[in-house]
Amino acid sequence: MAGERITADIFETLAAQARLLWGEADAERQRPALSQTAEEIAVLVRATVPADLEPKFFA
Amino acid sequence: MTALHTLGVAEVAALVQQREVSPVEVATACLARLEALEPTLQAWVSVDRHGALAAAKRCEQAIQRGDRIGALAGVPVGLKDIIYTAGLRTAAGSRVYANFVPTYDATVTVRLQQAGAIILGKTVTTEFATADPSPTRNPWNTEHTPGGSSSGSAAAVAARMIPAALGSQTGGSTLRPASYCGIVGLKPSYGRISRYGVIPVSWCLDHVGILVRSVQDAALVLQAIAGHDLHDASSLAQPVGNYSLAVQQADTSPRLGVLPDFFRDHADAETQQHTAAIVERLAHAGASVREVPLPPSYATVLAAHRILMKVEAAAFHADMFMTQREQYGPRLRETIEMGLVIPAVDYLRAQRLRRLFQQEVPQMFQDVDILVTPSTPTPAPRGLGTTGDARFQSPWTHAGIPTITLPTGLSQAGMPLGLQLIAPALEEERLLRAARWCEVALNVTLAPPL
Repeated sequence: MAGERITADIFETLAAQARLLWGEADAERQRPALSQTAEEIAVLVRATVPADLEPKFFA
Repeated sequence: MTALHTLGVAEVAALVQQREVSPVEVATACLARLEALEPTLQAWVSVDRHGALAAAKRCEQAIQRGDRIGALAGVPVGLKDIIYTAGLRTAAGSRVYANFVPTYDATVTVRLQQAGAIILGKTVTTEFATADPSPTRNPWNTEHTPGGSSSGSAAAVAARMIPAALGSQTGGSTLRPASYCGIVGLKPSYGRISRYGVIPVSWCLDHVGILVRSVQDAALVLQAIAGHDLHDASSLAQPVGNYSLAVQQADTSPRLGVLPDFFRDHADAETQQHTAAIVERLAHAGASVREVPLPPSYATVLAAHRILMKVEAAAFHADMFMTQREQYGPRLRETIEMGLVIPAVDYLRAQRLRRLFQQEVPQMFQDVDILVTPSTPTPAPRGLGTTGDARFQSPWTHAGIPTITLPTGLSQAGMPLGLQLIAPALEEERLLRAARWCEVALNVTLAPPL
């Protein structure tokens, strides 16, 4: 349930941004892709990242 | 004598150096093969017949003069159409870049030319090397996809139009089409081959890949194009290995690690059974085999990979996309649209999780030299509506570690199957040595019925 709520929250954030960028109709068209992206972000959000781990872009 | 268009890189290079064949004869034979099969396979965007024959003539004259020639002298090659070629259109499979003619060569283009290779032209890519399929057909069965995004490079090498081609890999775009078409595909460590002058998908994930028909040929091409490049910020400063020597020293049986969980669960039954039989043959030939568990961070790899790719593709395309959105194919359009709305903190979380995976990957090699998996979950799917599934390659592209696929046989439907070998970062010599050992032990060479 917690996972579903997180995913739903993420989806709403992404959908709101899509509506701002493209308008209601386009954001609706993008719903399946937004939903998949929300699920991917939820996987990342649920994972533990060590606090001192910095990103490394090249390598 | 063997038909010249069927010769591999090493064979052409040796015969040219020994003056047994002329580079013009080889280029002419490959061009004839290309022109005969191209209407069926659609592997090429542009063929530079005049330029290729002129380069072959110059090479021939250099040999006649007794000049010192490069390791790939007279070897015809194709370049994926995202690789810059000065004065030769580089359209990236896109309407947006339809008339783009670069004013300079990519570093890999320069290095191939310096090694004496003859560039026949540009091979078909999916749109901007992403997921919208190309028109290219699989030489084994034209009703099947050749895979992507290096579709034309894989089909052209498999069909014996050329002995070698360059592709790229951001997820699985070199190894997957290589496996689907029954050839060898090599993706070295991130930064080993310069990306300067290669149109990007994702700066942190893009690799240049090599498509050939033997491990020795992969080593020869890698030797010619690997190495530091001041033009590419991601280029490795570490010294280049002796790859040609590595494949000559492939007499020690490797310690192989098989990954049972994810890769067994996601492969179809035929691929699972085939891979198990191949690993058994390798064990019978002397390889030691043990199961290796995936590290904890593997659970986030595919999600993190997709987030990075979407955001970086969106960053590259953003300006063009805002004014030419309708010119983009549906899948790339969706990728960019998603990348534009993903929060920056989530992108950075994906980068941090990628680094965590990179830190955990070496644990997998504690007791083995090489990891092996099926190259793809299934043989090449029927139809041209998809380029196939990249999830068996993208974890290793994500980590930036070297991988190679070898052809290992045919499915019941007559489509190629392959074995993917994976080595630790910067260990291309180890990878090529083990791949050559496996190639000899399996003794499989596939040629499509064309």
